[in-house]
Amino acid sequence: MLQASELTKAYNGVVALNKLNLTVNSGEIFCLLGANGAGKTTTINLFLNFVTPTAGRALVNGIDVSAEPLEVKRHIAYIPETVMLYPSLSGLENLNYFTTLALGHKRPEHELLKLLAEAGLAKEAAFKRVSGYSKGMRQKVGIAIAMAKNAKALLLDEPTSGLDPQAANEFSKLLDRLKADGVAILMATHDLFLAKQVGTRVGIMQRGILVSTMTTDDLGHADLERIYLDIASCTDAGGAPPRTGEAEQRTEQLPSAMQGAVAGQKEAR
Amino acid sequence: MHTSLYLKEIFNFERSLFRADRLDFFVALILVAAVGYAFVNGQSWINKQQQAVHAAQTEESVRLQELKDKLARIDAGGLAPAKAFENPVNAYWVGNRHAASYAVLPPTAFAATAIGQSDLNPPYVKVSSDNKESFALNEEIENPGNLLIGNFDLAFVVVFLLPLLIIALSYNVLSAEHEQGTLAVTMTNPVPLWVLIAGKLGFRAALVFSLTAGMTVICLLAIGTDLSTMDSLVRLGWWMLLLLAYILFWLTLAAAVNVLAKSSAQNALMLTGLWIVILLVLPSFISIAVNVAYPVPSRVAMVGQIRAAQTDANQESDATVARFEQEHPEMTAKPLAKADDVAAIRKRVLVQQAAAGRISQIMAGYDRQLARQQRVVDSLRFLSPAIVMQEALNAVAGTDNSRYRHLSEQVDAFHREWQAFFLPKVLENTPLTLEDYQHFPRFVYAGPAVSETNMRLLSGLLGLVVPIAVLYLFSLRRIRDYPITA
Repeated sequence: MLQASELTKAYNGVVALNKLNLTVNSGEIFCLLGANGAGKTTTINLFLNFVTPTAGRALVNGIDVSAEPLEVKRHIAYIPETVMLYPSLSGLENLNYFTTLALGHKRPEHELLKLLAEAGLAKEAAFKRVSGYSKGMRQKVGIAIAMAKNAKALLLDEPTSGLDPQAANEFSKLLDRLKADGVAILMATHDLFLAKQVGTRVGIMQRGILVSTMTTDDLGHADLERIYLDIASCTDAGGAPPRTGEAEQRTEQLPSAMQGAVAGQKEAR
Repeated sequence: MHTSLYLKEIFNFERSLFRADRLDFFVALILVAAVGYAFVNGQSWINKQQQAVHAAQTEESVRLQELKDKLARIDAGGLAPAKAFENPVNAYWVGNRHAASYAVLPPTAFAATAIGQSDLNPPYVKVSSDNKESFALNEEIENPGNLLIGNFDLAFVVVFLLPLLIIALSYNVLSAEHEQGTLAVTMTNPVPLWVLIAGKLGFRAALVFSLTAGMTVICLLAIGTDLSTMDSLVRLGWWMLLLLAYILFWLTLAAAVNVLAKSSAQNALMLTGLWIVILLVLPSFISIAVNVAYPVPSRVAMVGQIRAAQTDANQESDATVARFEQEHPEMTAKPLAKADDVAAIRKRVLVQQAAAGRISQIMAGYDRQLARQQRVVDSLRFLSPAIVMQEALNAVAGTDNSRYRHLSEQVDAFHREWQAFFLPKVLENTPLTLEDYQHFPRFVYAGPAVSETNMRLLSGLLGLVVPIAVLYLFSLRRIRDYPITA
């Protein structure tokens, strides 16, 4: 459903994402882990066509995102780290607007209220102005917006950020349900526990490179947290992201624990 | 979903946002107050002018009736012929003074919408058989302070204030979405970015246009404008088209600034700067450039030349009279009044005619220079849509330069007709009769041809549509690179 093929993005010669090859199938949750600046959000932005790739292709349901961005957006939904809504309108009005833009027609109010309830937003809150919402409440409206679209693919960028534990738990259950419904989910997150809990596969990114992919079975044996912190410390010490052409050489500086994983990815190419 | 449906949805959503923030109420309040006050000002100006015209016409009518009554009493033998100056049969004094007639420029149905050039040009001219300079140089004196500040009329509201309102409503039309993060949520849907901005600006255009146009129609009806005539409907149609084009110009300008992907504060600064350039700097620049290239001819120099021509004609008066008597032996003095009066009057007319040729050349030269300057201004006006709009609104209101040029041309023709009626009688020493009084020339203003006005308005409209098209294409090109996320 979601496929990246040699997907590369450079900003003014600085590589943010380097030759990413990735496939997320229907009914699969792929969690992208990595430090800030690792390329997770760039990956999601490329699938959303918010930025254009420098090289390679991003495909959604077999459709090239750059070639047919509007068609692609019919198949994907997106929940950002902080869902920003129109503050002077209610959550229900916001949901109504974005749902109409997504579907091309209005959904009845009771359906929208049901969606908001599924996302965890109380009915009385749905009619209140968003300006009075907490970050978590806005996030719930964002989840409802994504659910309303009935998309085949879901892109999540730190979706549980700001949610209370109960809401985060409900969100995990929601992801499980969507997975069961055959939705392909690509989630960028710092939340290792969420990744362990809901992910089908986990990919670790560092300096624009997907240095490792593991299944949930692998996650059971590996100390994911330690590896992740190793990568993070490597990024912190590494300075500026690599320029085009430098990325392959820089992978050699990875911590020893990751060397095998990188080698495996190179072989896969 | 079809583009038009997206546009409709975004349009309706913008309406909800405006309602939620009560922005529509404040916009309506501002426009109702500004348009209403502008109409009060414009109409009071027209009333003031029309009161002056009415007083002049009444005075003329009373004066003429008194002459007729006096002549009737003389004819009936009830009154002895008075002195030549007061005698209603004396063609010189009647044509030159007592029956001098007002050539009046009637206001159009839309005159109250733009004071335009009407504060510089009087709406009436008192025409006599004297030379042209006797009336052409007479102008009403307007308070220079008022001329400097300008008038708070509807054209001022539209040309100057409406852009400020549009800037306030649209400087952050895209940048705010970007800054508050709603753009990213919107753009995950199959909506092209240009449709989003078109829908948002479309609502603002509809709001500002409908309120301004609606309030204008209400005010026109309130001041008693008959909107059922073809002339009024055509003017109203042009006014609406120009208003729409001008609103669209400022909205596309706001769009062009927004797609540069600067912050809202930068957009506000840029648009305010452009407002200053378009409405203040460019008109000043054009004025300076035209005055340097084609300086306004000096009226003082012209008056000096006219006086010199009169002096020359006076110095040659004896020769002029002698030549006339030699060429027209049949025109001997009749016992009208005292023979000396007749000779003096004839001499005055002959000198006047001798000077007329030279004076008309001087004045024609002055007019040519002004016309040359005006032609340059007409061409350069396209540099600033604000000038184009102001000129076009003046044309709709009938207070533009071209209408006053038409008046001037028709007054010249009327003056010639007036002189042709009276001066032969003066030279022939033929007394006026009551029958002659019935046939005094009358001035009836005939406005410029409809096609001429329409062409001028069409060029004004194109002067707005072309920059709109350029800004639209620019925006469409730049919008592709607009960053959705920070």
